[in-house]
This record gives sequence, C-alpha cells and structure tokens, in this order.
Amino acid sequence: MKNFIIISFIALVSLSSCKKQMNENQDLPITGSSAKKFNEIKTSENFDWKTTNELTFNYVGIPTIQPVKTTLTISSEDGKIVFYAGTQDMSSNFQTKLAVPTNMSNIVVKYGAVSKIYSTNVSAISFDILPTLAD
Amino acid sequence: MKKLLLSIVAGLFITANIHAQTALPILNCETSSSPINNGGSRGATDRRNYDIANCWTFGGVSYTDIGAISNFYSAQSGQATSLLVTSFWIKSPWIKPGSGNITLKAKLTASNGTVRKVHIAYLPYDAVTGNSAKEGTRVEFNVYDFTTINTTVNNLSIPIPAAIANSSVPYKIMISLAGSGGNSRIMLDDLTIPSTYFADPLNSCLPQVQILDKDGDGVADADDAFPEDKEKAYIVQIPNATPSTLMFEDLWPATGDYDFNDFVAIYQAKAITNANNNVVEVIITTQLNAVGASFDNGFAVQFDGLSPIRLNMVNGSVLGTSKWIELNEVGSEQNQDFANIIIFDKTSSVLKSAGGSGINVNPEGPFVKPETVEVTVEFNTDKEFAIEVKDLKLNPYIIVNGQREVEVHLPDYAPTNLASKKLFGTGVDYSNPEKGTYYKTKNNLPFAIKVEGLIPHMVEKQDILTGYPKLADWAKSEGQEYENWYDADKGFRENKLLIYLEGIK
Repeated sequence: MKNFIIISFIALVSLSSCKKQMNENQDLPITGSSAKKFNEIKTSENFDWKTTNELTFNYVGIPTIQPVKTTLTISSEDGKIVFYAGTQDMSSNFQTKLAVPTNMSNIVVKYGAVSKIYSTNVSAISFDILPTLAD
Repeated sequence: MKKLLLSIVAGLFITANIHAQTALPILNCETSSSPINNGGSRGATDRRNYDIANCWTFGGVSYTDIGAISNFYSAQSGQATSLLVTSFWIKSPWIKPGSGNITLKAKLTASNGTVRKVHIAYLPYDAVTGNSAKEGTRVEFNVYDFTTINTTVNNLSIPIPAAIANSSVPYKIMISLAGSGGNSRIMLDDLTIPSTYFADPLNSCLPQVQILDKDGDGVADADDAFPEDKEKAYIVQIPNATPSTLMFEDLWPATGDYDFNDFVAIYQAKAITNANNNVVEVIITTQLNAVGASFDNGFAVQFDGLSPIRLNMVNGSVLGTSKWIELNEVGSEQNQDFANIIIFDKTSSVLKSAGGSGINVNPEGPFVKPETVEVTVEFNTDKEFAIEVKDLKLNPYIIVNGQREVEVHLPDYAPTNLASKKLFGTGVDYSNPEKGTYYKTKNNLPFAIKVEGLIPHMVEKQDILTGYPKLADWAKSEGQEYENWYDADKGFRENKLLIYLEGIK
C-alpha cells in the first residue's frame, strides 16, 4: 500500500509537471517558425530586409488641344500618406518610384476628376486618363 | 497681416488647368499614342480615345482607316438609315465660338441610299435644366443634303450663326449624320471650328471654371497645402521614409543580442515642394522611444547622392556638447560629399533616464515619455541647384557612442565619408563595398531594421524572434511569406515580450 501511494504521488507530480509545460507551450501563440534565435537565420544576399514594395509609377501623357495641367496625387486609400503630389502636364509623360508599405494593398491615383485605385502587388503602374471602353 | 491682406486682395484667379486659349478644336482623327499609322481597329480605337480624352464625344460614330478622306483615318457613322439626329453624331468640346466658317469634309462609303444628310447644330451650356454634361436644348442652324449619292468628297463650309459668334459663353457644336435607304455610311474628316477651346479635360470635360489661387503660384487653393505661400505647394512623404520604426543594434561590427532595442525611434521624412515640383524643404521627424544600450548613440541622416551645396539651411538639430560635431555654414556636417544632417548628437541629449538600466526597455518601468526632434532642411530652389522628390534618398544611421568613425546603417545603405572603412569585414560584419553590400553578416543578417508603421519594440535582452517569431520565416523566404510578420491583427506578436509605448499599436 505504501509503495502504491509513493508511485501514485510520483505519477501525479509527473502529470502536473507535464501539464505546466503544456500550458507554457500554449502561451506561445505562434508555432512553426524554424529559427528560434535571430542569429540562426540564413537568408539570401539578395534579400533586402525592406518592409516596402518598390513600384514604378508611370503617368502616360496624351496630346492635348491646349496645354493642360493640374495636380497629380498618389496616396494611401485613406489619404493619410501622400506618396506623391505635384503639378503634371496632361500631355507629358512622368515616371517616379514609390515605396509602399507591404501592409498597404492599394493606392489611389488622382488627377483632376479622374481617380483610380491600383493594387500594390505589382512592380509597375501605368496611369492615363484615356477612356477604358474600347468602343 | 498687411502682407496677408495684400496677398488675398491681389490674389490671382487662374482658369482651371488650362494655360492657353488660342488653339482651335480640330477633329482630324489622327491623334494617337503612335505618331505613325498603327492601322486597323486598334489604331482607330486609339485615335478616337485620344479625341474623347480631349472632350470630343461620339454617338454611333467610329473611326476607320478604310477609305479615309484624308491621311489615315476618318470618322464614320453606322449604316445611315435613320433620319433621327440622335442616331449618329459628334459633339465638339465646350468652345467659345469665334467668327467665320465651320469647315469639314464628308463623303459616303458607297453610292447607295435614298437620303443622306449632315445636320449642324449648337448646344448651349445649361447648368440648371441641361443633361449630365450640362448641355441645353439643341439648336440646328444648317443641314447639308447629299444631293448626289456617290462617294465623292464634299467640302462643307458653314458660317457660325450670329447668335453665338464671338460669344463669351460656352457652346458645343453637334454634327449629326442621318439618312434613309441603302446601306452606305457617312464619313467625316478635318472638322475645324473657329473658336476658343473651353473644356476642361481634367474636370469631366465640363467648361473651364475660374478657381481660386490666392498666392498665384498656379496651383489651385484646393490642391495647395500652402494656399497663401507661393513658394510652397505640396507636402509629400519621401520614399522609404513613411512613418517607420527604426531599431538598431549598436555593437557592430560585433554580434549583438539581437533585441534590436539599443536605439528605437519612430522616424519619417516629408518634403515640401513648390508649384514646379522642386523641393523647398525636408522635415525629418524623429521620436526617440527607447534606448536599450550602455552606449550614448547619435542619430543622423545622409541624403545619398546629394551634394551639401543644394542646401540652404538646417534647423532643429539637437547637438549637445559633443566635440566630434563639425558643421558647415548651412548646418550640415562638414567634410561630407553628400549632405549629412545630425538629428541629435547622443540619445542622452534627447531622453533622460529615469533610473535603472536603459530607457523604456524594461516592462516594469520606469517609463520615460518619448521625445521628438524635428529637423527642417531648407533647399536651394534656384534652377541650377533645384531637386525633385525623386532625388531624395534618405539614409538614416546611428553614430556609436561618440565615435564619429563608427556608424551603423540599415542593411545595404552605404556609410558616410566619415565612417572608418577599416571596420568592414571585421567581427561578424561581411560588408563588401565593391558589391555595394553593407552592414550585414555572412548570413545576410542586418544590424538594423526599419519597419513601415509604428510597432512595439523588444524587452531588454529578448531576441527579436521571441517577440516576432514570423520574422524568421519572412527572412528565410526572402520576403515571400509572412510579409506582415510584425502585424498585430494577425496575431504574429508575443506581446509579453514587447514594450508598447503610447501611440504604438
């Protein structure tokens, strides 16, 4: 009987210990990451560690009957981050580089009354004010 | 105040978007993205779209390169078997009619049909009872009848009616193509209207309106961030300097503890530009959040590739008493090829410790309110010196513990002139200046990280992977997986190992 009690006690302590460990593991919300320490990471030398997507924005000018210009704006959808704003000739081409945070999925381009939304999941955006209908 | 009043009183009105009023609206069906004939329906659509962008409108009328009246393309109706003037039509942009004759060329595509006509009318501007394009009731003033049904080109010349000639209010000219019997189409080309173009292609092709531009810089007040300052017009976020969290290890070129909290700051830079899109000022805002270091590090920004000669003045730097600081007459750092701006000489000049080890890196506190340093860099806008936003490539870095020759930069950002090149390749540094790789280890690990957005930093001595486990997967996948590894919404954080200061989410 005495042995039984001792064995039972040891088993109980063991189970409690396991439970505590399991609970601690459950505290870690994220699993599956292969490296546990930063200096265990190996990456390609091409990886730049940037949390931005680099985009090339092209405004495609079209010939106009008269010189026409107004403000071209490229911003986040909520308008809080303005990536570009400047005076733009309607007939002149224009190119600029954008660095858009990776957690921003869309940007808005406004030119006069024309406003278009573009996905940032591309390397280049081409913007013009030509009609979108083919005919 | 007097200056302000004068500015307002003398404020100029500009005509929206349009900067000359002498061109004649001509429809010759030849304007396109290609200066040469690009042929076929694609070329026809291309050309018509360009004319639509210039505010010509079309109903049942297309462009064709088959049997064009002149050059490569002409406009043509469908089979002209409707006598209605609303079946096939072309409307001009809004114009202010001049005097003289409207001229055009017209022909039929085949020698068949009973009746073929070209109706010419004007449309007044009517903002109250007009249609969505503000067009009022159509007034016809001429009808040309194809008395002979054949394919000969007819040259039409119709006087602008006295009722609208030399008008100061806008009108459109509407050309309708009508007929009955047969299947021939009516072609039209080289339409010229003596008038002043008065449409605004950038405002839904409505007539130009007078818009307010108080400072007269050519940027409408509605778009102008500084409507009463003609030297400034726009505020733009500089690329790669949107509000970000900068986190440095300061033991470079030795390995650190990778808690990336030796220097933690919220950083952003905006450019103020003028109506010519030249940079007038750059405002660099740095909120120093935490110092998990025994070193007293400085913070600076290099304008990569930009000579100091382009600067007018630097204001707002916190320079303390550090002896290593040498500035030129405009306030950027001396002996630098590229403009270098010292934001502050050392963290202790900005944040005072409240006791204990480090500042704002221990979860038990005490906590110190982060301090913000705003530095304004004024630029020379003279033509030979002026730059645009695309010329701004900012390179933020720390200067380690008052040792001017020891800098730590973001990965692959080049050191300044004053950094010691002897340190490259020592310790765990694997920089290769010949390849343009800097401040990375052999395994491509950085000594500093910049995250777009405001994120919490690590508790002292806690490896960054314990707080942001998905950072490892993001890096190993070269950014293909878990690109938002720092995102709170996706549950990618171990919050008990992170310090959340006010405003950090």
